Amino acid sequence: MINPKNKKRFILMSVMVLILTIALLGCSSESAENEKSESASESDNMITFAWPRDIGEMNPHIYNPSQLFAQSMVYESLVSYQDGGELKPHLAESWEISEDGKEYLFHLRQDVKFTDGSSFNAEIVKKNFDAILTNVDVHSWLGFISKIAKTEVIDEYTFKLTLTEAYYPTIQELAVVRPVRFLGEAGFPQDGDTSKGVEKPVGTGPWVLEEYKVDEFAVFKRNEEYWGELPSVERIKVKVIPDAETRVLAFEKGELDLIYGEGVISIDSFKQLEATDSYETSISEPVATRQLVMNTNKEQLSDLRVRQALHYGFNKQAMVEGVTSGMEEKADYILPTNLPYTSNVEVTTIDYNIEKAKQLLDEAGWKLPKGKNIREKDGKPFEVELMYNSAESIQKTMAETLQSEWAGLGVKLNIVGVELTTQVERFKANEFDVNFFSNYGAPYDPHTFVNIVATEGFGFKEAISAYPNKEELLNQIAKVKQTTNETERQELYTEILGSLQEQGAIVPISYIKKIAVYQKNISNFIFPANRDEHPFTGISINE
Amino acid sequence: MGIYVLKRIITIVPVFLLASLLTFGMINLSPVDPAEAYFAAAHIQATDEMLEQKRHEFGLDQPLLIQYVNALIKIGQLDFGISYVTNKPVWEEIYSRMPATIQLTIGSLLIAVLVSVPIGFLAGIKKNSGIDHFSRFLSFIGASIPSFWLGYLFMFFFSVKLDLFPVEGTGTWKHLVLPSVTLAFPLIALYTRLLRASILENLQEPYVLFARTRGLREKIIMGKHVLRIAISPLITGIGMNVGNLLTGAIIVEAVFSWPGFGRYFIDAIFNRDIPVIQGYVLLAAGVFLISNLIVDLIQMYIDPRISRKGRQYK
Repeated sequence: MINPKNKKRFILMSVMVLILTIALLGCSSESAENEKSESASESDNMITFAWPRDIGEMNPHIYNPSQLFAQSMVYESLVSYQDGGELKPHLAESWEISEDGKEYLFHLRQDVKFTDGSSFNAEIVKKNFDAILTNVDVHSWLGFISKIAKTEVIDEYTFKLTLTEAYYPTIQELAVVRPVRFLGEAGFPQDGDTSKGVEKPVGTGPWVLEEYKVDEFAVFKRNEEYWGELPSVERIKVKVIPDAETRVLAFEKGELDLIYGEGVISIDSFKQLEATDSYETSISEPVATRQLVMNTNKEQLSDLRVRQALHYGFNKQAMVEGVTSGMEEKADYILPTNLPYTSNVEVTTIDYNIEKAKQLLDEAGWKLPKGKNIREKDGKPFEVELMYNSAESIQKTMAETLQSEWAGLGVKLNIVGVELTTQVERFKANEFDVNFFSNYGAPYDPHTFVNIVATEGFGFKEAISAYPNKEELLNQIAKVKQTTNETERQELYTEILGSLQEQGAIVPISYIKKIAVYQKNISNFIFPANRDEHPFTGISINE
Repeated sequence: MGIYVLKRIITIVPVFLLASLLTFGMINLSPVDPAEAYFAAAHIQATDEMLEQKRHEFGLDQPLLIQYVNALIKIGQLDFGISYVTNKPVWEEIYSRMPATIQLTIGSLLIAVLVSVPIGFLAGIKKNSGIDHFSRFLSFIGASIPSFWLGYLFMFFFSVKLDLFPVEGTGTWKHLVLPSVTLAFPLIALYTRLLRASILENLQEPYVLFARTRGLREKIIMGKHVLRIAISPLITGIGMNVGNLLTGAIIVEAVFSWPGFGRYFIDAIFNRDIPVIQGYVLLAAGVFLISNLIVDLIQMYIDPRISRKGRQYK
């Protein structure tokens, strides 16, 4: 056997070799540099923030894999979407709309410069629009793009947009993050086709991309020449952390100053961080409504009384509170009421009432046979299926809650978890009984939502086919987009949203909200009114 | 020996074909349409025309057989295609993320070997001693804790509580410690047991008794003869695990935000980025095959009896 002295030496040697290897492995010249830059910038006026994905290509005219918040930091829009749906001048100082609603004249700000030093004017606006229109198919989901007939430069700071038909949401759609934001001259490739990539990210926004390492981090520096209010922090560092638990641990360790977004950390983690009292937490205004959509083509769900009964038959308040721990709020309306034209929808709100639910089901002919616990009509049992996105724990838990609540009414609910894309496909193909849906939120709604409801192939139009007033609804929706009169538009929306909801196939469940958790030294954190925008306007660090 | 190596290299071809067929088949069994997934990732409500156009762009509107043959021809030319999501060549995407993954793999392999060899060796020659019990404990833990959970535990204790290492990211050697130890842990468990068993077995061999009767010092018998022969299954184990390490790195990379291609692969799965998934699987298959080949060569070198045996039976 080995004598004890040698054994000790052996162990010692192994440990030393181990340590040496680790040290050697990490000590490439590149990493030494990194360490330096990290410690240097940390002392700066900088906010470090985590995002699940790499920011992607900084190109204002493309989608994947670019991240909306990052695009919105560098590129700006003509119009800005503010709280309550107010549309404020941004790069456009003002605009005029012709009587027939087809011509839009934009007076541009004259003091705006791109980060390459070139000035923002009608020429570059036209160039961007033309680049977008080269790939009109890709952008056709955004209503006004496919209606553009002509783009014109009137003078240096006046730009004119002509549409083929009146389309009121144009101004609102100009507030979206992509694709109608503006790239500077130096960013354009030779052939002007930005869909294949940009030379460099040249924007007019308050931030400039300073340093970027794929899949690791991106540093945005304040644009010192910014035309608007200068941000108070100098730098924003975006760390790419794909795992939610890791984000929480990194935050607790102090490696992050801010966690922000929708579903970026689990409800449990949010509650736990909130309970420590060592951090600031906040929850935004509603950004969208989580809805339950019933397919009226299914025999069981074709009767309004049945749909109402199912709505009466579950304790919404308790379910939303219990499943989301207060991160979402019980919803009474199918669209959040802070969106444009949605604030005065008149509907009878439905409160939990199990007796009423049973009575409605009885009236509709779904009776509970003696000795059975599932209702029947003409010998057919009341059995329906609810489809949920298996990756979303909130949908899953809500589905389970509904299953047990409706079982009390004598309704058998089968729940099935599928992947998001399958959920979308089956919804579109009308192969479902009950499904979860949520609207797009600001700045896309309410017009995008009603448009989806009225368009063939998205699922809603087919799902509401048992509505007695379907034709009228579709006419109203077609009309509302072309209205040029504000009062008329408001009236139409009130009617459309009211009757969509009264007919009971779309059940509002909860208002989805964003969350933010930040260190105590951060102040003036404000959620952006536009769901896709970055939250760094006004944010500051206390010394 | 040259012929042997050549033979081994030729066997790679059918395995590659099989791997590509399996991946292709499985991706197509999945109900998810890559075009739908593309628009879902972009937060766009796509119309039917847009979906149709994307499918055409991706070549998904062609018959399956043609899609497969086209993919094969390209792969034959070492072209894995263009990523659906990023629009860049898959090979470029994988290549740029390779250094990080290789760094992590080598780090954990070294840790695994440097920890398990001494522990396994001592546990073997001193059966039922303290170190043997310790090795048993280590193996149970290593074999039963899933690596993502171990990663969180390490982060919580060594990073958040003790402030010794950063939680995530790259840059310094400190960033490498927790992920590589996490990745190495199951291997340590495996290798320790493997070496211990092999040592115990070898101690029963007549050559040990012979060496003792020759009056050789115990240290020399153990260090020079027993360890040298007993380590052979361990080397096979390592070879088989280099591929495992690369694939196991997927989870560790996601947990520790390590910018390697395992993480990239996860995104690709969610986005149904078929060229990337295919490229990754083929690459992993290649690594498995090549690392096994290298291990065989090393074993031949350490224990020449292996190649001699081959000749004897001819």
